[in-house]
Formats: sequence, C-alpha cells, structure tokens
Amino acid sequence: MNISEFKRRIKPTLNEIGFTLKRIKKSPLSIVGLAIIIFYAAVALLAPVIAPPLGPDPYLMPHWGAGKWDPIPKPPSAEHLFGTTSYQYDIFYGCIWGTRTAFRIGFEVVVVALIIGLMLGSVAGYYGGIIDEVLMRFTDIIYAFPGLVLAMALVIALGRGLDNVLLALVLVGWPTYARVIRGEVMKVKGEDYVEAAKAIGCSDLRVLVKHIIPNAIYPIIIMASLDMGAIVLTAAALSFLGLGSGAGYSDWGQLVANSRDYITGTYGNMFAYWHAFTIPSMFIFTFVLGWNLLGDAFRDILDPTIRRK
Amino acid sequence: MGGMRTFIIRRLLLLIPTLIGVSLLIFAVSQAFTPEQRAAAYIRGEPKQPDVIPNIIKKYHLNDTFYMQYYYWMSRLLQGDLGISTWAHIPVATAILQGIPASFELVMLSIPITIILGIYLGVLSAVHRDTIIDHATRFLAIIGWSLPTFWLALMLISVFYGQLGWIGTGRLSAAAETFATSGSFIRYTGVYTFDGILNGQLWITIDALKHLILPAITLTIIQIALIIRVMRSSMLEALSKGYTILARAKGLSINEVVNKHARRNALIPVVTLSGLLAAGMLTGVVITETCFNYKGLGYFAAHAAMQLDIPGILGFAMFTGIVFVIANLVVDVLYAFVDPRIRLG
Amino acid sequence: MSKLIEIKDLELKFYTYAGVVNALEGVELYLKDGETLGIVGETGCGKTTTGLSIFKIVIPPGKIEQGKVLFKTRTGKTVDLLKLSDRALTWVRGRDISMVFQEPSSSLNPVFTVGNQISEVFFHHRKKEMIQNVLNKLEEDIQEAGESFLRGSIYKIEKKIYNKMLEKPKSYSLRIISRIPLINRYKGRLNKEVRKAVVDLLGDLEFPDPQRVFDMYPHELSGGMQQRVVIAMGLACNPLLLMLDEPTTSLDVTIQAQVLDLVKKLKMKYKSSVLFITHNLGVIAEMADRVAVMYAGNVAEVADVREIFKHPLHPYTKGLMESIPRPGEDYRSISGTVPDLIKPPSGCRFHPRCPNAMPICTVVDPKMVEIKKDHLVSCHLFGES
Repeated sequence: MNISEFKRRIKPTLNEIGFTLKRIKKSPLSIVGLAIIIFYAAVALLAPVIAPPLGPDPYLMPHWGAGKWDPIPKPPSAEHLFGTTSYQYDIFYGCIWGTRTAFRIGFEVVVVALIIGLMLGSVAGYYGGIIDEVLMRFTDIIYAFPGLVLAMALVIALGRGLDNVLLALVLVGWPTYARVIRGEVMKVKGEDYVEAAKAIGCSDLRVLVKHIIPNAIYPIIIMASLDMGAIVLTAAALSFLGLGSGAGYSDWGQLVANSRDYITGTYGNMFAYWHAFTIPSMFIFTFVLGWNLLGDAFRDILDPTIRRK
Repeated sequence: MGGMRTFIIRRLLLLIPTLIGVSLLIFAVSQAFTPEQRAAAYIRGEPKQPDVIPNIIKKYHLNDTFYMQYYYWMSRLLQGDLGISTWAHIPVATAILQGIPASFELVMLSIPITIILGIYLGVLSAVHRDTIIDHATRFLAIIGWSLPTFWLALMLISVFYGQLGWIGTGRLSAAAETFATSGSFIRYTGVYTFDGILNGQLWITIDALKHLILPAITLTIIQIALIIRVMRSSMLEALSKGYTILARAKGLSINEVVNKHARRNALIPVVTLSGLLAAGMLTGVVITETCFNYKGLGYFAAHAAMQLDIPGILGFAMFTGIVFVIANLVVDVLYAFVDPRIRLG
Repeated sequence: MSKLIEIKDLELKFYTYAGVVNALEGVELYLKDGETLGIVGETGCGKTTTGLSIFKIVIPPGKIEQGKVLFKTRTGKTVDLLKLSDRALTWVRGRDISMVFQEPSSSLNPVFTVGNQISEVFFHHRKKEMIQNVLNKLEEDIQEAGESFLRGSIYKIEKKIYNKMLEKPKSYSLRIISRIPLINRYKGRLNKEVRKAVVDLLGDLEFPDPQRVFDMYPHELSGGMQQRVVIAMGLACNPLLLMLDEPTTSLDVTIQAQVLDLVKKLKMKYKSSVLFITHNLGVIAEMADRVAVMYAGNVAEVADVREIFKHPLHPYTKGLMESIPRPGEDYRSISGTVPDLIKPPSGCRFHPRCPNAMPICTVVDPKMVEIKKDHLVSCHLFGES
C-alpha cells in the first residue's frame, strides 16, 4: 500500500475527526474543559521547574526543620505560598506535584481498567454462552457495591499506599468498561458484514479489531473522560478517610486529610485554616470539572444519532 | 399478568446466586488478612492472655481450608454475627442496626428532593435545548458533581454553623439529644422525625429536620447532575419520537405535549436510575455523615476505615451489597410496572 | 369548486450542522373542496414537509422562509395559516385539519391506552359538546331522582359544576376541585361521555370490539389496527381536511387494501377532503382525484389522475410512468440520483437527469403554467420559454 492509497483510506477518518473538532469548538463548555486540562497538563509537566524537588523522591513533600512537629497549619506566607498543613507540609509543593499524582491516578486506572474490560468484554460478547454468563454474574457482584465502599474494603485488605489505592480502583472500575465493550461486540456480532468477513476467512481477532473497535470507541472515550474525574474524586475521598497514599505524599486528597483535625477552625473563627483544606480541594474540583466538562461535551458530540442534526 | 409473575419470580431466584456471590467477594477480601488479624473480630478489647488468640482461631476455624472457613463464616453470617467492631467495641451487626435509622432518615429526605428537582431541571434543559437555560443548568449540575463531597460539606458547615450559627452538626442539638435519650422519650423507630411525632414531641421532629437540611442539601447538590443528565437525554429522545409530532398534529399545546406525552415516557429510565442513585447515596453518605458528625451508617464506616477496623468495614460492605442487590431488584420490578410494553409482554 | 387549501410560493429550509438544506422552494399547490389530492414523489422530495407545513408544523432545525397557506375555514373566511400563532393553530390542528403519519407504531404513545389517546382529541376540541351531553343526561337524572333528596342534590351540584365548566373553564375554583381526590369524581360523567363517543368512532373504523380496544395499549394491536386508531384520531372532529402521509407503506399488502378501502368509505361519510401523500403510484391511482408530482422540493406537474397517467407532460412524470413494471412491457428507470439539497442544481432541479434538458434549464427555474384545463406543469418545454 503506497502513500496515495493510505491517504485515500484515511481521509474519511480525518473528516470525522475534523467534524468532531469543529463541534467541540462550537461548544463553549467543552472549550473551558479542554483549557483546564491543558493548564493542568502544563503544570504537571513543569512541576520540577515550578516547585523544585528538595529530596530524593520528588513526590514526598518537604518536611523538615524545627517546625516539623508543629501540628498547627500555617497560613500562606512568602515562604509557603499556599501555607502549610498540620505538621508543616508545604501546600504549594504538594499541590503542584499533586497534579502529576492526579494525572497518574486517572490515567493508570483508566488504562488498566480499559484493557481488562476490553479483553474480558470482547471475549464474553463474542463467544457468548457460558463465558458471557459468568462474566455478567461477576460484574453484577462488583456492581452490587457502591464504588467507594468496595474500594474502602479493598484498600483495607491490601494495605494503604498509592499502588494499592490504584489497584483497588482498577478492580472497582473495570466492570463498566467490560459491559460497554460486551454490548458493542454483541451489537456488531450479528451484523451481516461480520458474517461476510468470517466467510472470507478473517480470523476472529481481526474481525473484532477491525469492526468492533471503531464502533465501541465513542462510548469508551466518553466513559474514560468522565472516569478521569470520578476516579480522582474517589481517590481523594479514600485519602480523606485515611486510606490514601500516606501522610507525606504529594496528593491533593492527602493534603486535605493532613489537616483534617483543623478543618473546623478555632473556637471563634471557623475559617482560620480555610487554606489548608480549600486550596487542595479547589485543585481537585477544577481538575475534575475540566474532565467532566470535556466528557459531557463528548457525550453530546459523539452521540451518533444526534450528530448530524 | 402472568408474564409479570414469572419475571418477578425469575428475578427473585437470580437474587440468591448474586447474594452468594457478594458474600464470596467479601469473604475473599477478608482472606487477605492473616488469621490473627481476623481473630480480632471476635474479641472485645485487648486479649488478656497469650493463648486467647490461638483459641479463637481454633474456635472459629480461621485456619481451615477456604471452603470450611466460608461455610463457618456464612453460617455465622446467616445468624447475624458479623464479629465485633474494633473501633466501636460493639458487634458489627448492632452498629449497623443502630446506624440504619439515621441514614435512612437522611436518604429519605435527600432522594425525593434530588429526584423531583432533577426531573424538573432535566425537562427544562431538554425543552430549551442549546439555549442559555440549558447550558446554565448543565454547567451548574456538572459543578455540583465535580465538587469533592468533603469540601462542600465542610464549607456548608463553616458558613451555616461557624459564621451564621443557624444549624448545628449531628442529628440533634444538645438539648434535644439529652431529652431523646432520656426515659421520657420512646424511640419506636430510631428515626427522630417519626419518633418525634409518635411521641407527641414535635420539637424533636423539627430539631431533627433542622439538622437534616444541610446534609441533604450536600447530597442533593452532588447527585442532582445524574438525574438531570438522564432526564434531559431521555426527554430529548421522547421529543423526537413520532408520538410527539402526532400530539402536536392533534392540536395539543406544547405544554401538554411536553408534560403529558414526552415526560411520561422520559421518566422510565429515571426510575432505573433511582437504583443507581441509592448506591450513590450510600457512597456520598460515608463522607457526608462524617463531616456533619451525623451518626449513621456512613459515619460508622468512615471511622471504621480510619481506624482500620476490619470486621467493621467488611460488615458494612456486606450490608451495602445486600441492600444494593435488593434495591436493584425492586427497581427492575418497578420498571416493568411503569412501562406497559414490558408489563403486558 | 372552491379551493379549500391554496399553497402559494412556499419556501422552507433546514439549518443543519452539515449545511442549509433547501427543502422546499416555490411550492404552489391547491386542493379543492371534497377532492382527494395525491402528492407523489421519491423519498426526500419534500412531500411530508409540505403536508406538515400546511398547518405550520416545522421540525427543527427547519424554518419556513416565506409563503402562504390559504385555508377556507368552516365559517367561509379564508385565513393564511402561516400567519397564525402556534397557539391559534392548536385550534385548527386536529379539528379542521388532521394528519395521519407513516409508522403507526411510533405515532402512538406506548405508555397510554389507545382510548386515552383518542379521547385527548375529544377533550381538546369537542369538550363543550361533551359537556352539553353530560348536562342533558344530568337533567334526565335529576327528573328520575325526583323524590330522593340525596341523589337529587348530588346531581344538582354536578350540574352546577358542569355549567361552570361551560362558562368559565379556567376558573380557579374549578382548577382546585378538579384536583381533590374524592370530589373530582364528577369528572367520571364527562369521561363516560367521551368514552362513548370514542367507542362509537372506533366502531366506524370497523373495530370488532371497540370497548375492549379502548383499554388496550398500542403495542397490543397489529399494525393495521394501530393505523386505524390514528385515522380515528384524525376523524374525531370531522375535519375539513384529512392528510395521510404514506399511511399504508409500513403495512402488509392485504391490510393495505383494507385500510385504503376504509379511507374511501370514511371520506364519503365524514365529507372531508383528503390529501394523500405516497411514493406508490398504484395507490395514487386508486385513491386520488388529482395528482401532484413533486421532485426535489418543487412541484413538477399537477393534473387529474387519469390525465397524469395517460398524458404525463413533465419529463420526470414521464420517467416515473415509464418505470412502472407492467407485464409484457419493458420498463425504464430514470438515470442519476436525487440531488443533494444543500447544493441543489441551478435552474430546474431536474435538469441533470432530464433527457430533454435545454440550455435555459440550467439557468432559470421554470414557473408553474396551466397548459390544459386543470393541468399544470413547471417545465421549459411548455408554456413560456
């Protein structure tokens, strides 16, 4: 296949992508979402520049000096731009490097859950029968639990720490992807062109890849972008409950958890330590908002039935 | 109606393997702990003698094969024994029973508000599609969904309790609490709003309601996006269907077309969604109750998590699983009732 | 014969994300009192859109750019329907002009009974008449009750309520009592009256067991029955014009014949004029008195049904006639495909496929001209050049 042939083959796909981008431009909310994500991506990339690491592991927040055992969070100052949490962790540092953690959490969980869901879902949908039944029952069981609750149980069992949190979230999250893929596979399985492809000898795998993926990709994009937000929120909730990455780690949820005892302020002034929990929470909020806006816009744009109206 | 009956029976039968599966999952998770750790579920406080733990392990078969352990664990479960919570120092089952009325009250207040408001805004969004109303509603809903629950809860507390001093945290104010736990107040249901009425002490009911408002608002703000989204898209679908055009061709006003024809059809998916919403509530309730010091199930679970109370968490997860599976069944049956195509086969 | 409907210079565009679709351009059409006008054309030529535009139902993202729809009302006055507000039109739709659509299964709302949906038309348009019937029956009941004090007074109260409904239907007191659970039982009388009328109507539509059908849901009925329900809804108020858009296309051929027969019978009984939209020439030959042929948003030719089959003038109509397979004869199809209406061909929209195309056809859009009595064509081959 030479260059012109390739260009011809790829033209319809490029047209579709172009159309999608045009629609994205028309929706102000999705532009906002995209802008937010790009901003955070930039922050994450430039983390070493903005907040130079001061130790061997950049994710561990700076925690030294005489004040190390001072449980009272300090407000923003010249030295600590966003102030400090209880026991003097620098919030600014934590938030900047926490951006990287957030992206890491989101991407790793989504990608792994997606891969698992893809494999199990396509096998179940394609071969049907007992394999399908077993998978459906299994996802039913996992669905029987609200995400946070099951994640809590898993993290308690596996132990705290970021890796276990990620593992727990993957185990909680893969069924949604498996179900969607399975649905798409079953929809396409009965189509005539699949029969035709098999008749001319295409292997099962080729059929799956060539025909299922293009159809399934739209709902997956939507789910993945929405999941990015949901997973970061769940991880933050876990951290808030003390089941997160551990006190010194640069993670937004962890930063809030660090100051949990001081959230209600002093006796006379409830807002005395607002910076300790509001600033990291705002990071969480805007990050999740960006992905939710984008995912919502995707849902509108990529819905094939209303695309052309 | 024969079709309905077989449908219900079939779903009920399916319930059993699902519940067994749920219990298996929890049990499998519990196997991640050593027998010594699991033994802690059966002692109150610190063991006094060195051989207490080995005795417990032997007594509760914590070292046997997987199947034997599951058998004994299940039989105890069916008797209502979930072990003893290491942070509350009471049996897990008791803690759960104590927590149910509180969480029930909260959910009972939040769900109708969320659903009714969500339906209204969803219809509004769909009818005014792509206008400023639509964009604003969806934007606000997404904001609500994106807020970390703990932040919203704490913010509301700071403003309404800290600054304005209007409403306190917990289920009842101190005065009401003392009264409610005294002998002169009979707790029929444990749900203070009901008990207040039943005892003829309306001020207790009002006090309880005052303490429910903020947590309910928190839950509503976070969850309403779910309802709005589904209602909007199912309304849009209903509005594009043939019967909408025919209704207009019959001379019905736009209002009638929207509110009678389209909405009735669009409500059907929302019924199923309510099941998901119930699950969402259980999730949100954990954080919300903790922040508001509202001693319900979520509060128990959150503290169990914070203090690594293994039996507590596992017991809570088990309970949640059972509730959710049953809720799904109820929702499925409701769905069949609401949609005549399924009801009459 | 006077004209019931006259469409003048109708132009409609759809503003889609893919571009602006020039769906209807310069459509001129009239329908005479008591006749059946058939509109034929391929899918996408604008027949349904024209029908819907008659009573100003425009499916978004469409917009009527210009035009007039002159309608002769029951009082004899002529109104331009396109100038009326949507609210005013809710009195015309379903009462003076009704429409039956193609897929009966999607025209009927699946969650309401068939009876409920037909009753809507009665409640909306014939309420006063129904209330009057209730009042008459109430008079009888009051006479009958005579001595009995309790029954008599209940009836008298109901009479007052119904009188109120006639005079001031939107009064607050009515709105309130209609919502109170036990008190609003008075509505039962009206419901019964309407039910009776609906069941009678269903009888007209040749349903064997109208009482039972009233309480059934649409999915419990066959396609033919569903369509008859929709036709019933259309005829409920004795409309001046009944529009049918491909009413039998989705039905079995045998059912098709039944429904068409029924339509003919009902037309005579209810004395309506009929607008019949279809792409099936055989059905048109059966049903129509006059035929309009549409192509790509324009009207190509209008003539008496026999005239148009025997002496088609427009090259498109000729092509259509030649493409009907007849036993023993060859048939030819029209070459080319229906044009893209986002960028329609210049001048006459048919010229790319026309065997008689002339240079002028690519530049000037032909106007509709009356060649013979009641036979109009829009083609440069005829009329002015």
